[in-house]
Amino acid sequence: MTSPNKKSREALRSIPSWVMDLWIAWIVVAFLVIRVLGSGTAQRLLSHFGLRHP
Amino acid sequence: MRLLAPILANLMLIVAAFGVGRLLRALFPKQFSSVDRLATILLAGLGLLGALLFLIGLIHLSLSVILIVLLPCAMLGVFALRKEWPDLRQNLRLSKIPKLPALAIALILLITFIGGLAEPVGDIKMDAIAYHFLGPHIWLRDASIHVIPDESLSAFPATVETLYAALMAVGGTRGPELFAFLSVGILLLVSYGFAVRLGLDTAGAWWAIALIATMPVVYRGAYGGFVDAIFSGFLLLALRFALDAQTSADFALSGIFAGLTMATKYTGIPALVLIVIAALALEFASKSTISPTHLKGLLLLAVTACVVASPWYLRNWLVLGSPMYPPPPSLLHFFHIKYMSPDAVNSLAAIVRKEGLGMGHSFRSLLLLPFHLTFHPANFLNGPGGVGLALLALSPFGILLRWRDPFVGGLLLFSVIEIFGWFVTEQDARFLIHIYILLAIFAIWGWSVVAERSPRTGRILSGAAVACSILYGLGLIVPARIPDLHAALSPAFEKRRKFEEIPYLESFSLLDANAAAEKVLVLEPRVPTFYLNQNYLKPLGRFGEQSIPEGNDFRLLDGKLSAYGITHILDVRLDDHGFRVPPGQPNLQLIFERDDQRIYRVSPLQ
Repeated sequence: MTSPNKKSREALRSIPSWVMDLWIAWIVVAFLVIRVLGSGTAQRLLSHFGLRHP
Repeated sequence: MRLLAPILANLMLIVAAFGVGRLLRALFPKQFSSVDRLATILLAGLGLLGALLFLIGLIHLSLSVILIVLLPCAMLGVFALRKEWPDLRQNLRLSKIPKLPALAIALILLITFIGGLAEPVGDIKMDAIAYHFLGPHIWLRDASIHVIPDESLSAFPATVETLYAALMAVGGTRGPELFAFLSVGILLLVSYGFAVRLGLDTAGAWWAIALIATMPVVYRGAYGGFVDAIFSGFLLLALRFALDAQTSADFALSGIFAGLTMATKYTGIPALVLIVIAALALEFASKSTISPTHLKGLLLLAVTACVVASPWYLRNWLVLGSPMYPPPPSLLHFFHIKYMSPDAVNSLAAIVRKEGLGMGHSFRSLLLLPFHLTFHPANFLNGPGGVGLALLALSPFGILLRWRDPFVGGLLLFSVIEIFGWFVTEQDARFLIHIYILLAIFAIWGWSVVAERSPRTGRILSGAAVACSILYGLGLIVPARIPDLHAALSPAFEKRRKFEEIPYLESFSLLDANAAAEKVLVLEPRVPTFYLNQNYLKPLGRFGEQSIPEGNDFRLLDGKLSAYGITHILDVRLDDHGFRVPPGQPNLQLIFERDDQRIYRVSPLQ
């Protein structure tokens, strides 16, 4: 891939890699639970935190 | 022959589009790749053919006229293909293609092709049956493109619907269904070119278009009569060329695509404004000033766009009283329109607002929009299936990596304003297809960043995000098309499906077989007249459109049946509405009756 802006790449280095991992991991898990498993418990939990339309 | 005619119709159309589109090659930038050339030629050709057929069709539209237009263009297309082929062959090497994304794309294209060979079925709740296919059907029946007073949505800009008319004339009603294969294919070509323009290599671009092809919402906008995939293709090319524009030719090319965007959907109008704003902002950010040359270029872009889109808007203004029809309520202060009362216009606007409410218009909903679109897409109109999870999981890192590139800055400005406009107006998931495409490209950039920063866990997690998105999308798209695949491959199943899924099919068949049924009065607004081949009069439309002053009150119509040339009446019982023709009418003879449908013959003495 062509080299993007160096400043941006350096700025991204300031984000710890575990933060990236955690961000992706929760989305993958939440997606699997909500969309694939369709868990009612997960739906209720999301409602509790305002991430689901009442 | 059942399946050959639609295939030949689409083949002729796309070759003709290649011939017409290549006429614009003088405007193409020199740095165009083979894929860019192919996508631009095909989309420009389809759009310009739609415009040409529309202008001719206003005077006369028939199979012979369509062939007179398409055949010479197709011959030009064959000649153009011979010219372009060596370059295409050199650059499209199969060995360079990564297998997994190519497999997913091939599966989508295969089911789109086979599923596209099924005849359309369904009731009037489907947009294709209600107006996308209805207009072409009636224009061909009447041998001219004209307004349909009882279906206001058929007055939308109709570049693609005009192409549907050509496909229907040559290939029957399967023709426009099969057009989905071209829609998906061309949108993926445009997306691939965009991905490369944004810096992705071949493998990255293939993964990006695999993500795009398997997004259920993107796919939903590409088949079953929907024109959103082609719309997004026009828009992406207009935006890209505007942000890259240096010469007058570049601005003119962008203007042509912006015009085709407006000539496909009304949402193309705000898109043109946003394209100009994004191009101005990019110029200012790059040079700290806006040169008069650039301003002139953007003026050329806007004027070209308005000229290209003008046939549809002028026709509506001259014939229906407003360039936008049905108009938003605010335009009623300036235009007096035909066939719809202010109440009907306001009611339609209220329906649009209600259906487009999505997850609400609060600030909190705006902040949570990416999560809602990922986890609860079914709460948005046409959202079921959604866009997968890779956009939310990975595109933020791609955007963080690329945002300093002025071109990307222009794209982000366009996207943010458009998403906000979409959020406060009509939250129909299909309307953001071009945004999902941009985000998919950034998601692949994000994947590369995460894999580099976190070579073990991050690489596995980001790969899982992409894999989940693609597999989940395939898991929804393929089963949804199975009835179409079955119908295309089994004539017996197709016949049974038509009987089950087309309301009042027996009445339509009986009327079509009856030569004496010269003009049928259809009293119920929700009867899907797409399936009726005979001439008909529907006094009242779904959204309160009134094609005659009497409306559908039979007491007022009874004495005027012969004045309107009515020979037969189709009366149906739907939901809570009973039959509309009172029993025992002396001038009417009941000739067919089922539980929910009746046909009367009007006495010649009437």
